[in-house]
Amino acid sequence: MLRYRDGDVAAFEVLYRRHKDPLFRYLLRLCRHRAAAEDVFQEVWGKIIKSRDNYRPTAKFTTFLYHVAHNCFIDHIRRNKRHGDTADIEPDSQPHGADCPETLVEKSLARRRLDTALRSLPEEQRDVFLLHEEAGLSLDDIAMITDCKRETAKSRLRYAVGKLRAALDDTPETA
Amino acid sequence: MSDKRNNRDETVDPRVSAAYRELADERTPGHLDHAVLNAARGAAGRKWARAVAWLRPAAWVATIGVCLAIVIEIALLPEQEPAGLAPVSEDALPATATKRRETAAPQAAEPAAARPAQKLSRGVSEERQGRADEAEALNRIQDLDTREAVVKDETGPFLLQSAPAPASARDLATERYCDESQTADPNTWLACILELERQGLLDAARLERDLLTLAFPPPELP
Repeated sequence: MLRYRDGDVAAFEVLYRRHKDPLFRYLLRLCRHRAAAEDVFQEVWGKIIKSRDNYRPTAKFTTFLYHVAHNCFIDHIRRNKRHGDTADIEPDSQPHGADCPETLVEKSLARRRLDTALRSLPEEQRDVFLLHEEAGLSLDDIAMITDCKRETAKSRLRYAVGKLRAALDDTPETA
Repeated sequence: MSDKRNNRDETVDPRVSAAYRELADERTPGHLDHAVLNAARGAAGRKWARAVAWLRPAAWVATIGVCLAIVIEIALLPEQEPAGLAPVSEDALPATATKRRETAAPQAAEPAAARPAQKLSRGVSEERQGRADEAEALNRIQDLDTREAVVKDETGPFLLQSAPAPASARDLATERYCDESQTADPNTWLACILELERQGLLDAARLERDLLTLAFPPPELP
């Protein structure tokens, strides 16, 4: 980011290719609408580009990036009241690898259950889980990004993982 | 220690992570890549452009400044006045000349106030030109008188017929275009001369100017 601030566009391309897919998935799962996720994605990178002159390496770039993304998502929610009405992300039903049909069906069912469980998570828990899985952030970083205490972030993550585990086991669990 | 391990186990589940990895395999669309990278390149270009952004307004300011300087210089140029004129009061000038001066006054007033030294040098040069014209007029009149005397005393009509040009000049001298009331005062006389020039009677005006110079020689400069 510092190199890009000094005019090195190639450095930005490296940074972008490293973070673009996890960030896109994070926003896709948060927004639950592909078009909205794409809009927020562009908005996030636009803010990153604009803030290059004021960027100070006080934290990891990943933390900075997801902090911006989280705030953009919050702004998107405030702007768009339709958020949460419906979801248009279809789970990928294409077979992977050379598994046998029974295994494919079982995996597909597990994926569908996990996707349903992920969508049914409360927004705060889904946010924390996605930050943990996609960005690989620590609880301290997640707490800083979501503007809550570390214990709160930890509790949210624990609940989210428990619900998803229960969905995978196909055993209902209450939070 | 066991609580910490339990917490760690509750927040991290490899099976959930693996299942999520299988589920979340979406890739960023290509059009988003193009849009973001183009924006990044454009912003980097704009940064360079911002660094030299002062060049364009500076060029505009310089251009406008040069134009203003040219306009002011043209406005400050001295007016082309007929050489050898004596200073004339405004009330003695014809109406057209007064009007012309009034229209030129706003343009000339500021330069005259701004550059008195230039005005002074211009006055000196006009004075020198006036003296040269005076000498020339004196020579012409003396030449005319000499030829007239020759015609009267010696050859009579022969020389008179063989020198028609001085005779016509003399006719011009005797045929006055400015009457006595006008020639009584140099200012009214000069107004009459200006009127003759305005009417296109340049020879008559020149003769009257010569006579004016003879009758009212300009004062000597210190």
